[in-house]
Amino acid sequence: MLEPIHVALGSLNIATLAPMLIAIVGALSILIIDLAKGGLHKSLYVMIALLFLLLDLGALVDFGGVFLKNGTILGFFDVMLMDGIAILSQIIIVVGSMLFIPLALTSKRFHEYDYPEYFALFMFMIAGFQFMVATDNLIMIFIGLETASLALYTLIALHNRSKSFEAAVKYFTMGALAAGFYAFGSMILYAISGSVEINQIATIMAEDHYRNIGYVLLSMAFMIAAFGFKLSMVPFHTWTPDVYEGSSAALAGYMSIVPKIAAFVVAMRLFEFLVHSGVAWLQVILYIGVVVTMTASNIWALVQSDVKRMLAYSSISHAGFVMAAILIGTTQSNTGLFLYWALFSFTNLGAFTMLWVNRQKNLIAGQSSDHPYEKFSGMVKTMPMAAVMMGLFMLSLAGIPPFGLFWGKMYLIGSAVSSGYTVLALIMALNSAIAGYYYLKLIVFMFMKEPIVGYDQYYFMNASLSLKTIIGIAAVGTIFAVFAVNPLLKVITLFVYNSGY
Amino acid sequence: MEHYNVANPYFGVFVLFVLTFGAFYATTVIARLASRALAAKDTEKIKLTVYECGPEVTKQPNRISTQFYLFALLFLLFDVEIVFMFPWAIDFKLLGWFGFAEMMMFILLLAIGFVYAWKKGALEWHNIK
Amino acid sequence: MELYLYIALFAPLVGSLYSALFSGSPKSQQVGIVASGLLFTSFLSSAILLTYVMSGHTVHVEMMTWMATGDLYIPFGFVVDQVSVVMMMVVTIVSTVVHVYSIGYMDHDKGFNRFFAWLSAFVFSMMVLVMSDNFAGLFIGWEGVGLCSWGLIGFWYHKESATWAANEAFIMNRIADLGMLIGIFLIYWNVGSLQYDVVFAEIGNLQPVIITWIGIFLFIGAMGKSAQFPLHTWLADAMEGPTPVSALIHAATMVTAGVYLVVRSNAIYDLIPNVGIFIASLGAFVALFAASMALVNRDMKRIIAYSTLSQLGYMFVAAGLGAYWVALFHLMAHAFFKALLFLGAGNVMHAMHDELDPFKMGGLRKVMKGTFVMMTLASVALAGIYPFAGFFSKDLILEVGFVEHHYVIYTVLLLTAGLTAFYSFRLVALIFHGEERYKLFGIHPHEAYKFMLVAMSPLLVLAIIAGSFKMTYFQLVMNLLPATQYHVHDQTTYWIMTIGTQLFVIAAILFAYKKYANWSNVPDGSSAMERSFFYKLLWNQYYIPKMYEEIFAKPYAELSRIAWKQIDLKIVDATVDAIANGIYKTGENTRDIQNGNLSTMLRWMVVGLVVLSILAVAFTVGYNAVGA
Repeated sequence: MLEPIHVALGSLNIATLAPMLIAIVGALSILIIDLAKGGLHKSLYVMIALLFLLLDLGALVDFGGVFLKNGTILGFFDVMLMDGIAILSQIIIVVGSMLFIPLALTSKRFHEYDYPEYFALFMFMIAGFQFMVATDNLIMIFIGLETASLALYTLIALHNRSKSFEAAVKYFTMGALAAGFYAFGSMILYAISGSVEINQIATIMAEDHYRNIGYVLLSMAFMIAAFGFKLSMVPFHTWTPDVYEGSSAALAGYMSIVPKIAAFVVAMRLFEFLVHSGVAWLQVILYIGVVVTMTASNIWALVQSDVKRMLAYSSISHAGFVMAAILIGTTQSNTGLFLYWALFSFTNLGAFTMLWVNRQKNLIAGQSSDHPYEKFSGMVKTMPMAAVMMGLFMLSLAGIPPFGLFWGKMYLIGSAVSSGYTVLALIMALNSAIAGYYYLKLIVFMFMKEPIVGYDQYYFMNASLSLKTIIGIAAVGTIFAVFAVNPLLKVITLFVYNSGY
Repeated sequence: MEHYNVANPYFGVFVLFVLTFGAFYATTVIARLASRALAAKDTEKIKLTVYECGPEVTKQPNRISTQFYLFALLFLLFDVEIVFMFPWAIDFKLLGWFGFAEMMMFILLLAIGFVYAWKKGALEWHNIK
Repeated sequence: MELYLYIALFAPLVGSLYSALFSGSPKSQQVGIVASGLLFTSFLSSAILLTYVMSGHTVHVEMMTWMATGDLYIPFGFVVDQVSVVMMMVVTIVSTVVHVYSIGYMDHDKGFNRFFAWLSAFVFSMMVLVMSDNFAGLFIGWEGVGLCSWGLIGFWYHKESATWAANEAFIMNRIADLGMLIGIFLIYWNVGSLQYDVVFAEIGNLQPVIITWIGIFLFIGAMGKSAQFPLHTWLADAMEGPTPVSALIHAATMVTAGVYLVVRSNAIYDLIPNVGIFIASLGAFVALFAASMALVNRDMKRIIAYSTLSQLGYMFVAAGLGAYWVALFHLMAHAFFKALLFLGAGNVMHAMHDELDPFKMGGLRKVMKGTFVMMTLASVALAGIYPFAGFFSKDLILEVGFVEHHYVIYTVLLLTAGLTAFYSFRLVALIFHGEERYKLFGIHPHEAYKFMLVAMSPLLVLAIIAGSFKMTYFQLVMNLLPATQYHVHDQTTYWIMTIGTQLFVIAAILFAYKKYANWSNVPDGSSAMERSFFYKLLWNQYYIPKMYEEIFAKPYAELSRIAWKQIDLKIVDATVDAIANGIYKTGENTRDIQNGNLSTMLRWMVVGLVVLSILAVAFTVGYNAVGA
């Protein structure tokens, strides 16, 4: 006869769930409010979402304090794992979301924002990402990943256009395949180690000196395929431009930041212990993956005639650049990863918001896509301030000092050099130079060409105060990053180092 | 391959899984090849239309309502929850208060979903015509 | 004291931001007043710091650590020592005067508020430049003043010539800054720090070759900023900007940054006397070269600009010969009387409705008494007549040349002194004396606002008495700079030299008066003199701008055209097109985008996975083979 199980409530450490629960409660309350009284204005939901995100952030900051004092916090039979990188990445996720959600307050009406479900799904998605990063349990990661992904597919489809449906279906189908890969990879790992916790898997593997190296590598092949999809590494990147083009510019910007940081964190947990154990295969594969992703997507970005597609390819390239941090795997490089992504989120969200601001409802005659380069030509004459802002974001993306991303790039390249990856550092620098070309192309269009009649009416058609505020915040973050870099680095290093990465 | 001394009891399952996977894939490939080789090449119009779970799309006077799929989805959702409740009910005493609280939580969430679906009118049959 | 340091540094920034707030709105007087008030605060703080430094202390603060990771450490610190406090005083005095003056000068301009935003931003950058305690901060300030100068030269951006001049200045300076940046990199590589104190302490341990290269590259940067030959053409063209800008930036402060750099880096240049001689020779050449161009020019502001160029040459002679304190002293004195001269020219321009040709003026002394007195005294100071400021600083440079046995340089400078006197008084004579030629053009000149003249008066006083500070100043800076006294030992030689120089200069002045004080017509290019070879040569600025056009600009345009047609179109674009075609081709097979693409994508994913798995298996097999 089995004894009844007694679980002391204290041992559960329910507090570790708090940040995600806040997001979920937020989502549920949005649904309930809608049930109680339908037809409320979207600004109410935006405010509710913002409020809960703020609470979420507060909880995370609180956890940050506890972490720095007591170290990693475990909860729920060690399923929840609140270490430094979990807290850091959740902060990036929540801040990125807080920057994104006010973009719903456009001055024109859009289909998706009429549904309160949009905001509920959004909050569910955030909770999903938070679960994904705050655990090293393979099953929990999977659940978080799927929760977030399913919500995301729907968010894309809600942008009521045939291209959006196409994008959502594509993303969904490929996502399903990637989820399959992930499940398969996890299964193999479980088969050889008998555990679903990454740190235990690592211990067991180390104990038997990687006897089952073949299976480890096979599982890693599946895992790379799964996370290669999420991080859009070549050749698993094919969905990116289509999906970005199909989704609204704001959501595309969001997708280039938040899901990726979550995937980066899992990739860090999953791959780095192997890289450290000297599994040469993984090092080689990651090396090839990083270089090919960076370079190929850069070249593809060169040939794009649509700004949004260009930005899509360029964010693939940025992801490849940052993936190098996982390959290098030192504390410095992991710190660089978070620094880069924090700075990148401001700049990239700003750039995509600029596209969002001039989203048209209908294409004009002879226009091939939503945001062709021609749309921006001579913008400095018609909308000088907007052109300057866009130019600023482009310069930052290109890594021109003293704007935000320059410091991230410098720090990452520096970490590559100090770990002996000189060739990699060279390739990274070279790629930054290539990337400069297509970012400057947009600047050339904006500042040196004559305006094309017909487009000017769209330049600011979506602009509302809240959109302008977001652009302003992004711009401030990009310009004054110079002064924030050092304190930011200190904090990030503290968190990353104390988590053992 | 003595080198791979896989001690785990699940190893057998894994091998079977892989074999099944391979066999499944092989079957579909063979079936496709075989049917391509054997089938009579008819160029009937209806053959080229979309496949739609039995009904003939082109001859159908009215389309199948999406309600049908919504119902199917909801049914599946609430049906699957039972899968969790059965083992819980069997081990109810063993799990104690903790188990009870967890299940209540689960049911609460489910109930919110149910109310949501209800209120949104997902359970009513809308006649399209 | 740190508080005063921060006030002195940031008050201009506050002023700039405040003005920038109003840059979109129509002109409001209070913007100018607030900006000027903040500048005056900055000046007061500098003065307090000066007294503090004079009592033998220095202030050194590290405001923040900018980046500190691994072996990269860039602090952001400021230092107020004997050299920087002198620069601070010069910058704040002149800029306060110019700010107040601008309230009147820009009175009718639509961009009034914007002007003050730029001007205060400039002062802030300049303060960063002089107060920084390391080369990185210096470079930031250096770039900052370049940027602000670009904005101010092109202030009237609707004027084609103004934007052109702004771009020219900016580009020329960027070329030179590249040199400077290389110099800074060299320092960092070899010393491992950019802090002045560390660098100057360590520099002696480096190989002479490296020190020489560092010195050369830093000087290239200085050449750009201080418009030394052959990068001098931008300065004269920069006169397109508003006149207060010319007074502040292109006479008193920014152009002297090059001299400041050499003075600041005296520890480096002391070790490489050969480069020093080159600097001095170039300086002497520029002094004569610029003065000769000023002789015939018919644009009031350009004449003064050339004179600035010439005086910068003097400063470089002193700095190159190791007399750093003399260079800095001349820098200070020159800032006062040259700014005064420019502001006076601004008054004349206002009175003459932006007419710049002195031949079309004449007899203005009757209507513009105040300006007349000020410009005459400033010119006297520039010419170096005892007891005005120029006498003490400029004659000192001549003495340096003599004492150091560089007689060629001495002769050149002496000759230039005569030319300086001549062209200065040619200008004064043409503007203020003689017949009232402006009546031909129907202009009714008037004196500038009273408060503008009052604002200028501190400069006037300083232009007269700055020489008397010489010993105090020397006591101050000898703490930091090599304290070499330059005395001609032989009393007789000394007196002959001094009196001879004075007489020569006075003769030049009298000659200028005689020739131009009674000028009556407006030359039209037909007189014998105007057709002479030398006149044409000088008139066309030795054909150097034209030469640049022919040697650099045109071939560059041609090269760009070829690069565009041949390289960009044929190679780059062709490659890009080829890649694009390649990408499109893959999509070609799948015309039905909806289904086809998705299958392709899925297939790609599976292909990726299969390749990875095969690699995994291959590696394992290989690994085991090696392991076994």
